[in-house]
Amino acid sequence: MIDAAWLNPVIAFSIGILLSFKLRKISARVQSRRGPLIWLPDRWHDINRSKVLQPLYDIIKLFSKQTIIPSTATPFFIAGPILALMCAVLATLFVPVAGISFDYSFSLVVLFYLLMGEILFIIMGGISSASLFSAIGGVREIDLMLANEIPFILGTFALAITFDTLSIQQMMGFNILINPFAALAVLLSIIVKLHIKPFDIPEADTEIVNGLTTEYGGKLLGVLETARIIMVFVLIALFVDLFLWIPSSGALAWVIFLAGVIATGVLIGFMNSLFARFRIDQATRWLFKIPLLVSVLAIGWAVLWRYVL
Amino acid sequence: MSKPHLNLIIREIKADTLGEEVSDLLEKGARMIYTSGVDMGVRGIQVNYYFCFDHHEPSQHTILRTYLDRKNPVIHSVTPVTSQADWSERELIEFLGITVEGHPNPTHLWLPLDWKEIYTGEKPVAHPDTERINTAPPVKPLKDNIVTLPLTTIPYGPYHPAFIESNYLKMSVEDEVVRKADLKLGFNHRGIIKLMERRDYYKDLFLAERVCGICNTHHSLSFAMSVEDLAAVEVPQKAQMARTLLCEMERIQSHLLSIGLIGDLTGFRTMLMHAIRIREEMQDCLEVVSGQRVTHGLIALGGIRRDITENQTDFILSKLKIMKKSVPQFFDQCQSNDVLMGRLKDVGILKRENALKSGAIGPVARGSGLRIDVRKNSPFAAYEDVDWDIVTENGCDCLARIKVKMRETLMSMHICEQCCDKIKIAPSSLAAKVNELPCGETISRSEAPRGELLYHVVSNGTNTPAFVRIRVPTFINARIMLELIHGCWLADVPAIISSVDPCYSCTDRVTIFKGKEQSIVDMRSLGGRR
Amino acid sequence: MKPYFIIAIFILVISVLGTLFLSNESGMTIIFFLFAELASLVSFYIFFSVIIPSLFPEYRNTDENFNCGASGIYLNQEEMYTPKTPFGSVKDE
Repeated sequence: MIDAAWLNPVIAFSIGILLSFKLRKISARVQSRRGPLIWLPDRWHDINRSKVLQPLYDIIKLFSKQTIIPSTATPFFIAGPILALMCAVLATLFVPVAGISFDYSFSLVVLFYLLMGEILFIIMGGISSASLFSAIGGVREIDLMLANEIPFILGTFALAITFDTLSIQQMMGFNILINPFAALAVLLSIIVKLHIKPFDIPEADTEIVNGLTTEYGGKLLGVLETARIIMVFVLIALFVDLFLWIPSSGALAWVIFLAGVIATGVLIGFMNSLFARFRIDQATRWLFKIPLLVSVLAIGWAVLWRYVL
Repeated sequence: MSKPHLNLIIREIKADTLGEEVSDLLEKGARMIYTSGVDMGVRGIQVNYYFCFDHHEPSQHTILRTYLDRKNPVIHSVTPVTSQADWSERELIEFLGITVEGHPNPTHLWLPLDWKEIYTGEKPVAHPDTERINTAPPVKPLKDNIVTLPLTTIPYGPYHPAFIESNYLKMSVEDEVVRKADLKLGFNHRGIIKLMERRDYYKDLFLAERVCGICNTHHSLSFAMSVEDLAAVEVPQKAQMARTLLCEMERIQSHLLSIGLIGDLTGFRTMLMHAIRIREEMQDCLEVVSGQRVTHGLIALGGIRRDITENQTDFILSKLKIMKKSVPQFFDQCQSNDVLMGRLKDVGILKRENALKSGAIGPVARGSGLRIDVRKNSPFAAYEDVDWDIVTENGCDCLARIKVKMRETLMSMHICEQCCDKIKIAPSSLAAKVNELPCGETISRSEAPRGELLYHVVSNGTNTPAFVRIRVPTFINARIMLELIHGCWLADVPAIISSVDPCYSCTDRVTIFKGKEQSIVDMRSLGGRR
Repeated sequence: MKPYFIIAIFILVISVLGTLFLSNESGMTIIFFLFAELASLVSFYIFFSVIIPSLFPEYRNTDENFNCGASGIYLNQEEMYTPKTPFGSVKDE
C-alpha cells in the first residue's frame, strides 16, 4: 500500500505553477498590464502562447539551456541547488495537502529544519560561485533569515503550546480565531521567506544584479526555479493548514484547501506589487520590531490560554 | 515681443593669469559652466572658460579665452580653485592632449586608461593577412588610479540593471557602505561635434537632436537659437510659443519617466508602469504635433517647420485635462508609500552650499533650494510671456529632488495650457528666413529636463560651422552624483543615481581632434566602438 | 561587528541554557524543541555571517578592468573573486 502522501511533491509543483501564474497575473493587473493570458483564441496560437502554464514553460526553457559553471566555482555550486530542491520536495511530504501528509509526533520540527535547510543550501551554492554580488546577497539573506525565522518559530510554537503537540496534523484548524497574533507573525515571515516585494532585498536586481543566483544559468537555474515554485506552495499551504483549515474530508477538503491557498496567494500577490523595496537595515529593524513583538504576544497569548485560564 | 539680449563678454587673457581671473570671477558670484578647447591651427589651442552670472542678474555671461602653444600645450589647473572645472579639464587632457598642471586627478574619463601606450607610444600595425589591428593592452601593469584601499571593489557596469545606458561605475565597499566611487564613460561615444563641423547648419539641426533621445527638442532648439543669434533674425511669435510648448511637453514626459525609474530602481515596478501609462498621453500629444514619438524634428532655423493647428492644440488641451486628474493622483499615491519614502528620505544629501560650490544645475540644484533655472535667469523662447515660477525644495535629499520633478511636471502642464491658448491667437507667420550667416560666435543656453544646456557655435562665414561645443547637464550632475555616492549604503546607490537622473549618452557625445594623424586614430578607437 | 550579532549571541545563550535545563524534564518537550530550534537557527546565522565576509576578496589589480573595453576582457582573471574558506577553493592560476 503506497501512501497517498507520496503524491504531494507532484501536487505541490502543479499547484505551485498555478500560484506563480496567479502572482504574475495579479501584479500585472495592478500595474495595468495584461500579464499572461488565461485564454487565447485558436488563431492567436502561433503568435502568443503565454498562458496559465507560463511558469512551467519558463522552467522547461531553462532546462533546455546550456549550464555555464564559473571557473572559480567549487563543487558546492552544483550541489547547492540540488540539495535545496531535495529539501523543498521533502518539505512537501510533511505539509498536509487537503489533510494528506506524513505525520509524526514531531513533524513541525522536521519541517522547520527542511525549510531552513532550503535557504541555507541556496546560500551555500550562491556564495561558492565566488561572485561578489552573490556574497553580498548571501550576507543580506542571512541577516534577513535571523530577523525572520524567530517570529516564524515563535508563531508556530504558539500553536504547538496551545494544542500541546508538535504534529502538524493535530494542530490544523481555523486557528486564526484562536491565536490571531500567531497567524500574523507566520504570514509576515512567509512573505519574507518568499522574497515578496518589500523584502526582496537578497535578490534586488538593480542593486546586486540577482544576488545569490547571479552566476546561475541553464539547468541549475531551472532547479532553483523549481525549488522556488515548490516553496511558494509549501509555505502558503502551511499557512492555510495551520490557520485557515476547517476539518473535513474528501472533495470538501480539497475545496476548502484550494480556497484557502488561493485567498492567501491573492493576498501575497497584492503585497508583491504594492510596495517598494526596503533597505537591508530598514528591513531587519522593522522585522525585529513588529513581527517579533507580534510573535512574543502570540506565545504569551498561547501560554495564557493554556496554563492560566 | 523681442528676444532678450544675450549679454556675452569675451575676454582674451594670458594663460598665466588664468587662476587669478577665474577666482576673481568666482568671487563676484559667477558659476563656471564649462571649459572647452579647440585646435585653431596657427593661433594655437584656444581654451574657453564659460562663466555665467545669470542667477544674480539676467543673461550675463563671460567667456575667458586663452591660447596655448600647439607644440607644448600646458595650462594651470583651476580645479583646486573650483571643483566645477574638474571634468572639463579632464576632457581637455583626453581629447586635446593638453597638460593640465596641478589637476588633482588627471585620469582618463572617456578614453581607455592605457590609451597612451596603445595608440601613441607605438603605432599599431595591421596584421598582413587579416588586416586587423592588435588592440591587446600592454603587458606591463597600469598605474593605479582609483581605490588602493584593501576593500572589496564592486563593478556596476558596463551593463548593469540599474543603468539604462552602458557606463562603468566602480565602487569600493566596506560591509555594504560605499567608501569610494569612480565613473568611467566613453561607451556611447559617437563624435557628434566633429560631425557637425562637416555638415551645414540645416543638417546640424537634426544632428543635434540625435545627441539625446529624451531631450532632443532642447538640443535642436539651443542650436537653432545660437544660429538665429548669429544671423540676427527675429523669430515669429507663433514659433516662440510652439517652441515653448514643445519644450514643456518634453519636460513632462521626461520627468514622468524619471519619476517612474526611481520607483523601478528602488524595487517599485508598479510605479514605473503607472508612470509610463500616464506618460503615454503626453507621447500621444507629441506624436500628434510632430508626427514622431522620439525625435520630433519640429524646430527649424528661424522658427518651426510645421504649423500647430487648432485641432492639434485642442487635442493637447483635452489630453492635458485628463492628465490634470491622473498626474496628481499618481504623485499622491507615490508619496503615500511609506517604504518608498523611507528609501528616499535623508539619502544622498547635497547641502545648499555644496550645491552652489559644485555648480549643481537643474532639479539637483533646485532640490537643494537654489533658484537656478535658465528659463527664468536668461529667458529664451516665450518663457517671459507665460505665467510660471521656479520650483524649489529645501529637503536637499533624493526625496526633495523627486518632489521638484513632480511639481515641475504640474508647472509644465500649466505652461502648456497657456501656450495652447496663445498659439491659437498668434499671427500665422511660422519662420523667419535665415539669409546669410556672418562670421561670429555666440552661445545659447536652454533648460533641458535635466538641467542647463549650453551650445557654443562659431561661424566662419561658410555654410558649415567652424566648431560647435556642447555642455550637457549630466556633465556637471554626474560628478555631483559621484560625490553623493561616497559614504552611502550600496542599496542607496540606485536611488541616488535615479534621483540625479544622469544621461550618459548626452555626456559621451564629444570628440575634439583636429590633428590629421590623430583624427584617424580617434575615429578608429572611439567611433568604431559604437 | 554587526549590531545583530549581540542579539544573536543573547538568544543563543538563552536557548542553550533553556535546552540544558529542560533536557531532564519530561513534560516540556515543546519548549525544549523551541529552544533547540532557536539555538540551531542562531548558530547557523553566526556560522554564515562569519564565513561570508571572509569570502569577500581582498584588493587586487582592480585597474585592469577599467580600461573601457580596450582589451578583450573587462573583468580580468586577476580580479576574479575566489572563496577561501570553508567550502574549499579553486584559486585561479
